[in-house]
Amino acid sequence: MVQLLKSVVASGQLKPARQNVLVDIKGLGKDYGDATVLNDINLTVNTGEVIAVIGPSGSGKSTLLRCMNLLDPPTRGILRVGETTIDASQPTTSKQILDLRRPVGMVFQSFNLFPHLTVLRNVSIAQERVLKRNRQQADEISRQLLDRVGLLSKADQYPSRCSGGQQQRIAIARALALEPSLMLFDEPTSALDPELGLEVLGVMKELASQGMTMVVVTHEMHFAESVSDRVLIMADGRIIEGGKSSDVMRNPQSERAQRFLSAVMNR
Amino acid sequence: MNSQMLLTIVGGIQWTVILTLTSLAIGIVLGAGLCAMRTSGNKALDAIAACLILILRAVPPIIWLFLIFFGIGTGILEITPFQAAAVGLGLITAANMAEIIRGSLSAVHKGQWEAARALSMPAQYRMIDIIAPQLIRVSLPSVATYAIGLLKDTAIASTIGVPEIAFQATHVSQLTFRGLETFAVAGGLYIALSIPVAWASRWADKRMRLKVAR
Amino acid sequence: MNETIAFWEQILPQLLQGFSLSLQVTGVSLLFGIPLGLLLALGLRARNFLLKAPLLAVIEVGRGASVLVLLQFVYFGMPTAGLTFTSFVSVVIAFTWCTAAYTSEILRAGMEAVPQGQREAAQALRMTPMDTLCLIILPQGLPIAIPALLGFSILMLQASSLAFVVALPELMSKAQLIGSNTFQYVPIFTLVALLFAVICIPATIVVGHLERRLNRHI
Repeated sequence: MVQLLKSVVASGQLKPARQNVLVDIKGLGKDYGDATVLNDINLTVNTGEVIAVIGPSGSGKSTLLRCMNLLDPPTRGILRVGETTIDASQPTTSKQILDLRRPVGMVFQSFNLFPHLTVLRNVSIAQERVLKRNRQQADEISRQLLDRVGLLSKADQYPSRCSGGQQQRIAIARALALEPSLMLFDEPTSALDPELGLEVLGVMKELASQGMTMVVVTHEMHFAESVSDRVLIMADGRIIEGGKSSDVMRNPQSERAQRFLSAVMNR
Repeated sequence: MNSQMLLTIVGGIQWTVILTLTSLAIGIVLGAGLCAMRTSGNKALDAIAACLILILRAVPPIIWLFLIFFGIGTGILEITPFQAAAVGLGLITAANMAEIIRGSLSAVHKGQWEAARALSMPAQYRMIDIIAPQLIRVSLPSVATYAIGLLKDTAIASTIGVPEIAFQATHVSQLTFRGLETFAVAGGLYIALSIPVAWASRWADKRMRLKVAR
Repeated sequence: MNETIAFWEQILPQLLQGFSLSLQVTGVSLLFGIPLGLLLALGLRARNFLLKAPLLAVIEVGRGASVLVLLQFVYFGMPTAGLTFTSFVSVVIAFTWCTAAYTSEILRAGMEAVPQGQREAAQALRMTPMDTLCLIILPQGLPIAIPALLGFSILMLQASSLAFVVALPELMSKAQLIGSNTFQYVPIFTLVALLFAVICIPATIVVGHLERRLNRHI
């Protein structure tokens, strides 16, 4: 009985209460020299939640996302991801950075696949070097993931032979290969034609339905409304509105949010 | 290193500088001509110029100097080492300048030509007022870099007797057998001479960069 | 004309002997110099200025001093400090120094040309800086640098013509020897020029093609 319970908990079906909040951000701020790009960000992300972050250009959405895995280190505030907490006012050690990044996977606007490696090697290389899997294991898992995103046939080709939508799906597989609990998407479809973007959104939808915790910076309003649980609207470095998707998208409270949404929805 | 040794070596500086400037001047003028041949549209001129440039750059500079000094110098004309060096280095500079100017021409925004034509400017004013100023600004960094290289290459002229820095250093070293300090000073002089050129180039570049169309 | 060709046939074997030495000394210098250049380029990425300063000095001297002076410094100068080298070794030392200095800049530029997104992706995947460098940056940066490296190699071959001042019996040395015996300077140096041209002109054309092909992929 105890064994059964243990395995159920381990597979994530029963979660102890303290593990419910995966990301906890308090008072986060980011300055570039004199310019303040992020100010007083407070945000929690629960396990299994899908959060969409929308807003005008320059609002700091991407910067916030990149702060979450310390690609851009924040200037102020406290950031907790999983079990690792960073205080921006103290110097961060590389061990802390690695620990914080352990449960986090990231997908970039420009895909950033490694052009000199085949698709299969792209997905396997981090598994071998970081998770220390041997080549056979890694390739096996890579093939499963590529199959999951529908691109097993492309395994031995180079990224340059794949369309943008295919490359982005491969990038998603590459991030999933390290078994993250949180996936960050930085405008994943902004560099794609609408049709290719649909392929990628399909994969993201499937991920969401399987319970992955996701934070997605996007311009795709339909995705924000229908797939995400919560929507955050950012402007001028702050979160100006946040809440359940349907509420925020249909009934924005603040004037700034109303202006943005009307410009975006009624084109 | 006593002061007399030092003075002798330093005495070579004027020759180094004058040789560099002379070769540069010859090179820019001839190089512009070669470039004009390459961009003239006339296939024959283009081919001749391209071949000349290729040959001038493929053969090591010292061989050109020897050919001019020992070849022409002892036979047809009487030329001094300086003249041979200036002509030799000038021709090589011309070949490189032709390529630099050609590259800069394509970097000047195409729209500038079209705007000038649309305004019905006669060809020579087009060149002088619109294109040439921008051409100079765009090519300045490459020309400065080349000039620094040319400054160091003038050391070759020491082998045919031009009394510049390297010549004096060799002379002093043979007299005193103190090669270490002698050549260290010579090397240091070349490095020191290139610094003001690099600075001047960066200063001029910053000032001019704002005035180039993007 | 026939006399000239007959003369050329006569002196060609000697000149080729010298040329082979020119090629050897250039090849060895490049073999040592380019990896050293890579080390210098990598070393310059250190944050610590105390570590960087000596590297910067090595590079500035290697690039700033004339090759001729560098040659003479090693061959004539080093004995004063107690180190005597043969002319071949002196040339290799001087040329390796020069090569490392110039190629460090070429390689640095090549690595910088790799898009920043590649580094970010590797960081997000938690790859170590060493792995990122060896598996992601260098495999992309080195091919970018190849045309410039080849162009530099051609220049180095041309520079070997200066090695006669330190008594290396390479091509120019042989040419001058023959010249001092026969006084037929123009035919001799014309043949020398042809020998260089035969190697350097095709090489330059090939590098040009490589550069164009590379730019097409970018």
